[in-house]
Amino acid sequence: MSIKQLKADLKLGQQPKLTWLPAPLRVFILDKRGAVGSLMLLFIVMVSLFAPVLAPHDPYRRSGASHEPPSSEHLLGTTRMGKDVFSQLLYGGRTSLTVGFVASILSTFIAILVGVTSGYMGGKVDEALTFLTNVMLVIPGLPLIIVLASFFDGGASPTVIGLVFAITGWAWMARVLRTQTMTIRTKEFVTAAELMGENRLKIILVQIFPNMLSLTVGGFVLGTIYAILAEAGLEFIGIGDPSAVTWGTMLHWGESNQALQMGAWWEIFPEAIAIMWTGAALVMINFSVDQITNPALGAKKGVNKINKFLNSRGIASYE
Amino acid sequence: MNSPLINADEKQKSASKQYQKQAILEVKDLSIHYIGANDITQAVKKVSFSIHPGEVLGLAGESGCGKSTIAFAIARLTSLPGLISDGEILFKGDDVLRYSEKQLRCYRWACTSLVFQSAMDSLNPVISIKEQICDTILAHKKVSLAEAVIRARELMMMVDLDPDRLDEFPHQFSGGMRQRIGIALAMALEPELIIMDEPTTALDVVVQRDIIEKIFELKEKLGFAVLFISHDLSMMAEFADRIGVMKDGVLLEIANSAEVWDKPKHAYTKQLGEAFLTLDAATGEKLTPISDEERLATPLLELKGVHKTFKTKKGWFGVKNFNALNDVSFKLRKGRALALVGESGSGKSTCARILSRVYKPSAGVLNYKGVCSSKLQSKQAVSDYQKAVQMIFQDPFSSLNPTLTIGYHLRRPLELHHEFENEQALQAKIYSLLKQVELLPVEEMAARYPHELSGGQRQRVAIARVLAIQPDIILADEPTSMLDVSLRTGVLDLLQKLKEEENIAFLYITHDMATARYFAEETAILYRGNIVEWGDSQTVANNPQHPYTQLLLDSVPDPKRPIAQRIKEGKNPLREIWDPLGKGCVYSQQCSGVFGECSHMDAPIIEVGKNHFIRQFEYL
Repeated sequence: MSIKQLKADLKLGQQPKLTWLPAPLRVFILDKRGAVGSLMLLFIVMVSLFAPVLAPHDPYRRSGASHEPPSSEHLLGTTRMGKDVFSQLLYGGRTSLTVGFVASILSTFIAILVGVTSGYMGGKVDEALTFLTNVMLVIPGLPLIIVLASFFDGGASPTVIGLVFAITGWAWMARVLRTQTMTIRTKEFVTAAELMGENRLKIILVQIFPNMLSLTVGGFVLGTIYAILAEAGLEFIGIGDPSAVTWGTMLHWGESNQALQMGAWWEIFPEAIAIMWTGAALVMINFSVDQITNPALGAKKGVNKINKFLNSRGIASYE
Repeated sequence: MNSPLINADEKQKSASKQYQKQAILEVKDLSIHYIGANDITQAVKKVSFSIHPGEVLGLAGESGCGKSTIAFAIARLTSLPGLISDGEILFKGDDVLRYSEKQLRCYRWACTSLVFQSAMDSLNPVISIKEQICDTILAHKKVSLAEAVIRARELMMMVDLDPDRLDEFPHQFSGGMRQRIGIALAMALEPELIIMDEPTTALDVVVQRDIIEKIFELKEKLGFAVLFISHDLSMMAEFADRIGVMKDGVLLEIANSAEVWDKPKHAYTKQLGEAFLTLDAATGEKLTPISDEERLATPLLELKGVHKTFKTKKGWFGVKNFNALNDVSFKLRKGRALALVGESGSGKSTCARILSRVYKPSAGVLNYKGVCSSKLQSKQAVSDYQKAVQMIFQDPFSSLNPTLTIGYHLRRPLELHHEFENEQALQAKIYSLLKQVELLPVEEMAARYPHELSGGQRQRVAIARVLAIQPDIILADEPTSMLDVSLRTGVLDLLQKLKEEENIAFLYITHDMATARYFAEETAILYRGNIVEWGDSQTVANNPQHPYTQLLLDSVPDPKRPIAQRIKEGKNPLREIWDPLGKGCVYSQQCSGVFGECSHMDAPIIEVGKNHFIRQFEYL
């Protein structure tokens, strides 16, 4: 077997696709998991976005009899209260996804602000911000919401839940970004920029931050998964506002109406699958982001073909 | 097959008379490929050589030539994306490439072991030396722990380390000592071949001398063979029996070391040998001597009696002072370079940081154009000073931001310190800067990212970035030490051109006396925070007066003095006394320290010749 043959087997040297894209984005799109994850996420976001157009019924009102099985009239059947499950699923997605993304965007933003500032400034500023971070780390988010929920009539609304996650969830990421900033700050290109008289904001935003972009994106994706799951979990146990339509409250009603025991699986499964779907999409995106951050993960590709090549030459193969 | 290889075979035949015994390792037609994202590239092309018992075979070449790849292949440490694609590696007749995992475990370390470049990384920081050595022994030999400890003590003594320090951890040893531990570890199982991958590259010149002499002594005593990999041809010529020269994966020639150094067959070997500035070759013929008027004129930048003390923590509350610089004075003149020569930890970089105002001096003054600049207040004054004094860093891989284009790196300093009528004028200036540092074609270079450039090209970008500001003074912190030898003179010549044409003053920080002599008009030798000798570079190099300078110059590898001869002459006695890593003040070796406050700080300065000064030393 020749090197040429191996090269063909490993599918190397083919014209690279999508060369007009910047390199990290290209890796992301060409990675199968990243592409599938993005498509899955795009699908669920679009469906939720166009809920007013797609939903056949008003999710808040009765539109049929109690626990009607799926039919052409009600694609996913009705709840015990006679509300259309399909419409609820679409509208619920709007709230759940919005809460997840907004909470994650907010907490990432705070994390960048606190982490990068304390890592770059050092000294007293760093001590104060690290103290704040440590305090936030020991405040548990979930119990805090349970306590807060008792202050609101009719449970905590999705907005409140999202805000609490944003405020309690940034501390870990701030620590990671602080450490990373401290590492990059000692690099000579930062010293060079400082000696040049570059202003601090430009050093932080242009010189330091782009070097940890993939780390930040990874943290943001994980944060979103956490926020969506935690919100659904809280509402499922009844902490949230029961009159809101979200995937979590749908699960809550399904469970308290004993839908499964009554044989009405359609009141539980759709929102459960939707949550899993979103989680899976985001996890796959995260895998792909990992690949960009750490190219060594891709080195083991095609090891079987390489071993075949080695065996044909009588050289011991890789494990 | 090309002719050099045939020559190499002939050489081997003549050499084999010298080594009657069977070759211990034979590499035959070894090819190694790397699997990249788009292509499979060949890193080693049909390389053949053999190593005989008790022989030192040097493998020389620049970065990326495949020398380390071969070393790893011999130990079968090649891992993906590396791929040994063809050939044989015969260890006493057995093909290593066909060993199973189990056979490999017996072969590795017991038959061939490795010493790596960075002993810091190859020793585990959280495990004591004793455990690391004993683990190695116990993994291969059925002996009791007590026996293994005895062996470990024996090994420590072999490399001149105190066996009672076995229980200590790697960070408690200096760089040179860690490399000795690395060698002890490699000898633990008495292998017949030790592969050394640039074992002295990260070390200072005096320590390097220590290590190679130790390796040579041990080799003579124990009779193992050494495959010594290095980019330093002059050191290899002094140390190795035979040298192989590699370029782009091809073994160009392999012959007795004297032959390779004196009568190289291949044009590239010749080029490599010439690129290496030895002390004798670098006579500084491109430099013009400094006139007396220049000496009397107000210097551009001047340090006067500068001290720098760092406070380090000692215990929970205690503070210990560490004197990094002690009464340092020097002058930088327009269009001239001052070389600051010293080993790591001598305070070279602290000097540069004080000049660039990153650190404030603890005592003494910093004069810029005759005006004291250590306490600049106004924003304008700080900005003016920044504009005047710029720095080039040692590591071109860390001094450019990987996320920004070359164009941006040059654009910012221009925007910050100069005004341009419009975008086109700015763009034109960027291109002219790239042209000045010979990075062509300019449009393409400006659009590239740092990872698309070689080390030498990156250093040129770093120089262009500094030029963009149009400084009066450039502080160059070992600008060539991370570059391949063939690129070094190119970068130095570029700096030389700037020095003459733009009348820039340079502070050239280096550990290499030869390049100091090549590039700088004046040299100052820094030893543990003190300038011990200074004067015109030629005078200092030809007629060193201070024992430390003499030691430094004596330690520089010299192919004309083979190592066997040096060992016969005996160790340089100065080495015992002038230890750059010693604790305390300069005289601590001779001082019992029981007299309270140290009074050694203000040793008088003596003029030993015209413009040639040394700090007095007491021990003689």
